Amino acid sequence: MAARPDPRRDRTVQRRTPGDPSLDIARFPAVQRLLRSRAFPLGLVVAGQVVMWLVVAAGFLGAAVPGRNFATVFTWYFWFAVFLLLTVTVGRGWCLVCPFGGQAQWLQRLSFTGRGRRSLTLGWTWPARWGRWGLIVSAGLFILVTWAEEFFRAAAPGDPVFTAYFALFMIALALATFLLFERRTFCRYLCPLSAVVGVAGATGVVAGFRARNPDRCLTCATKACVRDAQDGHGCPWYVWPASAESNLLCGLCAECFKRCPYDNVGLFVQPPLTSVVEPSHRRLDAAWAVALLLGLAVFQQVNALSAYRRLDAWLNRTLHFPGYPNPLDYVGIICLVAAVAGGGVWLTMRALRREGPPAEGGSFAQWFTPLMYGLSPLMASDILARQLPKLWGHVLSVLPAAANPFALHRGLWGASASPLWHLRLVAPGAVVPTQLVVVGAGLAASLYATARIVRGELDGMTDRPRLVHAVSTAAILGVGAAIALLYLAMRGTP
Amino acid sequence: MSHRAGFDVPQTRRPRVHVDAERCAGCGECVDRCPTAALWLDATGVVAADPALCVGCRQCERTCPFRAIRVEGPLLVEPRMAPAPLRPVRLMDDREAEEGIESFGAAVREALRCLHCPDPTCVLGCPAHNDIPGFIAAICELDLDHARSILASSSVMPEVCSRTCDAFALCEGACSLALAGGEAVSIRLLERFVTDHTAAPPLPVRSTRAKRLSVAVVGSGPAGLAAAGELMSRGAHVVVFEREPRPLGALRWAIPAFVLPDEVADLSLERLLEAGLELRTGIAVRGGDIPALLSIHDAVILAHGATVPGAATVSGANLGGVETAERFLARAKVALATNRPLEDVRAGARVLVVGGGGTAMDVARSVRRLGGEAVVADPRDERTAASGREKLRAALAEGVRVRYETDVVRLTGERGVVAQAWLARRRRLGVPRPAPEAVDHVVLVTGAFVDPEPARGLLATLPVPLESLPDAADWRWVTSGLMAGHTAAARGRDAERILERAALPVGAGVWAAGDALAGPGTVVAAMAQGRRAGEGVLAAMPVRTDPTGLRVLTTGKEFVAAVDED
Ligand SMILES: Cc1cc2nc3c(=O)[nH]c(=O)nc-3n(C[C@H](O)[C@H](O)[C@H](O)COP(=O)(O)OP(=O)(O)OC[C@H]3O[C@@H](n4cnc5c(N)ncnc54)[C@H](O)[C@@H]3O)c2cc1C
Ligand code: SF4
Ligand code: SF4
Ligand code: SF4
Ligand code: SF4
Repeated sequence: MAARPDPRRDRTVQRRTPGDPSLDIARFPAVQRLLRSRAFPLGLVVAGQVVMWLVVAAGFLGAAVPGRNFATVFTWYFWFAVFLLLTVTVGRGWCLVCPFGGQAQWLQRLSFTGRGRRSLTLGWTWPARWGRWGLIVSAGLFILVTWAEEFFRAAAPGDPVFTAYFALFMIALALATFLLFERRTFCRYLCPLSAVVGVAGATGVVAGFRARNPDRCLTCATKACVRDAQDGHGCPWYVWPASAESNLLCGLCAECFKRCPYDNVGLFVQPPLTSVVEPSHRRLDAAWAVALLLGLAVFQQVNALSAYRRLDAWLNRTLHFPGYPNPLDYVGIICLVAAVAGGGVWLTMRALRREGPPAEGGSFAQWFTPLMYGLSPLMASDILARQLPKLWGHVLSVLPAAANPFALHRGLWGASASPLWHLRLVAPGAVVPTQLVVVGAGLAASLYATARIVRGELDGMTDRPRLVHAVSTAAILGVGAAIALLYLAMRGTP
Repeated sequence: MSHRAGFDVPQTRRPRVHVDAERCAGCGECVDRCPTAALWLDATGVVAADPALCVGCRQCERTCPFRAIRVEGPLLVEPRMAPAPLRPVRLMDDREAEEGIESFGAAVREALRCLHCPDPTCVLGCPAHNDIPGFIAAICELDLDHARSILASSSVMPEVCSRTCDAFALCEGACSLALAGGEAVSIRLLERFVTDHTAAPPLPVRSTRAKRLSVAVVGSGPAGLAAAGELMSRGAHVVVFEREPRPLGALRWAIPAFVLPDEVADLSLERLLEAGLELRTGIAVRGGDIPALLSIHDAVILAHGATVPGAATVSGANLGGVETAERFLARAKVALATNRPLEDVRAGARVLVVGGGGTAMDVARSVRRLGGEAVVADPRDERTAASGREKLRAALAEGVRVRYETDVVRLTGERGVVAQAWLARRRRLGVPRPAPEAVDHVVLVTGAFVDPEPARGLLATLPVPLESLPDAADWRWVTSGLMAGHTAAARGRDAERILERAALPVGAGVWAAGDALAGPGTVVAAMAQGRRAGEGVLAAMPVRTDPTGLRVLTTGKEFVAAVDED
């Protein structure tokens, strides 16, 4: 064996990320009280539950008027855009509210607050060889769900019943996974939203719960934060506060904060983009998830073009497929974008990596992964910008829809006649400029992040760092420009 | 560190370690517990394994909070030594039945099987928390005296425990090798080997912190003696009150000499007497006496055991030729010791023992030595029977027959003397059909209860019910991975809860330990609780309640000397 440190004494090999105390918001007494309370995150999950079941009820029982029914108005005009906004600004904030995981976890733990150690689950472990690709599975399911949404016209123009089925599908998938597998296996490896929240959330300012002093953790004999014990549960996301170094997988549930016997866990904030630029444990599946989700975002732009419409119609006729979108072109476009991203990186690597043994110049994964992380802000901004026409046009109708969720003839306070139905937040002519602003912001973030990533991680694998820098900058500018052009061509189509 | 020989095992038959790098959080719990240092954290903070060092003990798998590490393949340890040989039963022979390990070489060979786990679960399984890897390492180093002194630091009677413990359910049940599906180290026999081949060290004197403390202990069983030992090792003066003319509690009157010879049981008492213990036999302490005791002593420890036999519920129990196990065992012990056969249990007598567990085995084995035929009717099934693996093995080897899932419905007799027992085998479906069986003598195992008298007027009723004890979160259990459904853990943790309770007073100035505190249990648990009660007294350092402020000295000269000093 090669010389290695004595594992019992020398733990310097272990990566540690001491939290900057000034960024620890749990040091404020009010925040600390909130996080200690069992009402957190219970209250948020309950709120999520109320809305989710209202969506299901409205979808099934309400009038099938997509523009008026709460299920469709809330889900597609409001929720998805706000969900994305929350993600890019905060990180995994959504997972705190998430009614799917929240409710399934109540059942799995047979407890609302997470106290006690009874559990209702077979406690299977997610197979290791799938775990490595968890975010791709998640992104794949997201792509599948989006296809169904397009196929059934759930979002545009909108279908309340499909929307209710969509919620039920998520509920059932979550319940089944929680009852079969341990902890939040669903959230970490399966949930269709998880990859989006994870990779788009890397720009967010909440770093998550981390150890205040990781050295304390090394000698901690309890590891209470990660262990299931008789009086509670360890981290349901399989994160150890002492080694967490990005916000990718912290679900913000505060379980570790409550359980650490040494008060050694804090809730840290970070400058935007930190989790894009700084992680040293980058995940290949996260990188591919970025590429695939970028493909999805591009598809949702391309689908507004008449050239695409013609191609789709032709394919459907030829293959006797009932309607838009044809799975072949849908998957084809997404995979094409991902393949272009992968191929581009591969060519760059072949041309520019340092000659010599492969360890010197790095592997494909070592080039691809950080570069895709760098691309993630642009990808996130693209998905978000795509939601803006609906958001600007209809977001205010959420209020009358909430007052009259079933779209009855009159509704509370005369909701059905409310002027809010027709009030827009942004004039139609201003929609495209706002989209361009969002994409521009994403582009700037990607350029900045990629420049730092290249300097920190790729410089050592090439003899021509300037060229790598120039190529990556040009590639990102190119992607940004293409996205912007597509928005101009779409002219604000919702 | 390791005493283990290098393993020359073909690569294909080696254990393989799989680390789920995606899931491993780098917490190092497995690294800390791997006994062969086969694991370390690599530069990325994820666990890596050296398969050449892994012995397949699966401690890593057991302790990983995220199930990120998995081990496949065989457990690389030498086979366990054969069970200790048993001396064949001879009529009226009460010599110790089980023989110890026959040679130093065999003991060392067995000791070398121990992995010296950094987080030894066997220690959790042992109610006394003996430093098992420590004393086994001393055997490996051929230093038996050191091994003995390690044992002495946590146990006042290792020579007793190593004969009476059902180790299979205690330390050996919690040994990593057993938890990994293999055969545990023969911890009990190694402990016995050490005590058989070394002179007991004098009672260790750890400090004189408590030299002004005087404590009265009620009962001279293992709990009382252990409490005395703990207190005396800190300089306290201890008076033990014993109701019977002869001390040692159940060790004397219940456990047969062929399990625990009297001269072995006496050793610990002798050690304590040498160190200045004051023993008053023939004095029964009653509830009303506690205030008086507390005016003379700073604290009282109740260790009066569970000595009240339960009532026989089977119909016909009042017939002649039917008696309780306690009575029979006491008679049989005297009969075997004095070589005077019992009138009613002679050679060829058909004796039915009603009830299971270790006591039933002791009765049946005594019957065999008295020359009778012994049948045990145990209502439990074979898997859940509480006889203890070693006791059962010995009983079967000695010709005892055991009928599981069998109830004795009634006893009938002729002219007032029992003649038939109606036995019914439990059935999953249908009504059990009792059938008569001819018997000459019947011994009923009725269980034992705590005499409420000495504890009368105290805060807590004895024994304290287990349900009433807090389910203390003890992280040693959780982090060892033992909690994950191992039966050894459930037993051990209950024992631990009682231990914690033993440190707390049951009334002002009064502590309790052993069977009196927890109901009928085991020697080692009673001993451990006695020790913990002693620690509780030492921690509280109570002061006697004598209203006159005078110290009424009724005690031995050490105590007088201690008082003279102030
Ligand atoms: C037949 C039998 C076989 C057993 N076999 C085993 C075995 O193989 N392995 C094992 O681990 N355990 C065995 N046990 C259990 C074990 O012996 C007891 O759990 C253990 O001895 C309890 O110790 P103790 O000190 O609490 O009480 P005891 O050993 O019962 O001692 C209590 C002492 O207090 C005295 N006393 C009672 N009342 C008073 C009073 N009012 N005033 C003064 N003194 C009083 C009693 O005379 C007795 O000497 C067996 C028990 C029995 C009955
Ligand atoms: S319980 Fe606290 S001190 Fe222990 S490992 Fe977890 S965060 Fe660190
Ligand atoms: S099985 Fe045992 S020896 Fe092998 S790596 Fe795990 S802890 Fe170490
Ligand atoms: S115990 Fe599990 S999570 Fe911790 S270092 Fe070992 S394999 Fe990784
Ligand atoms: S006796 Fe068993 S559990 Fe104890 S240290 Fe040895 S191998 Fe480990």
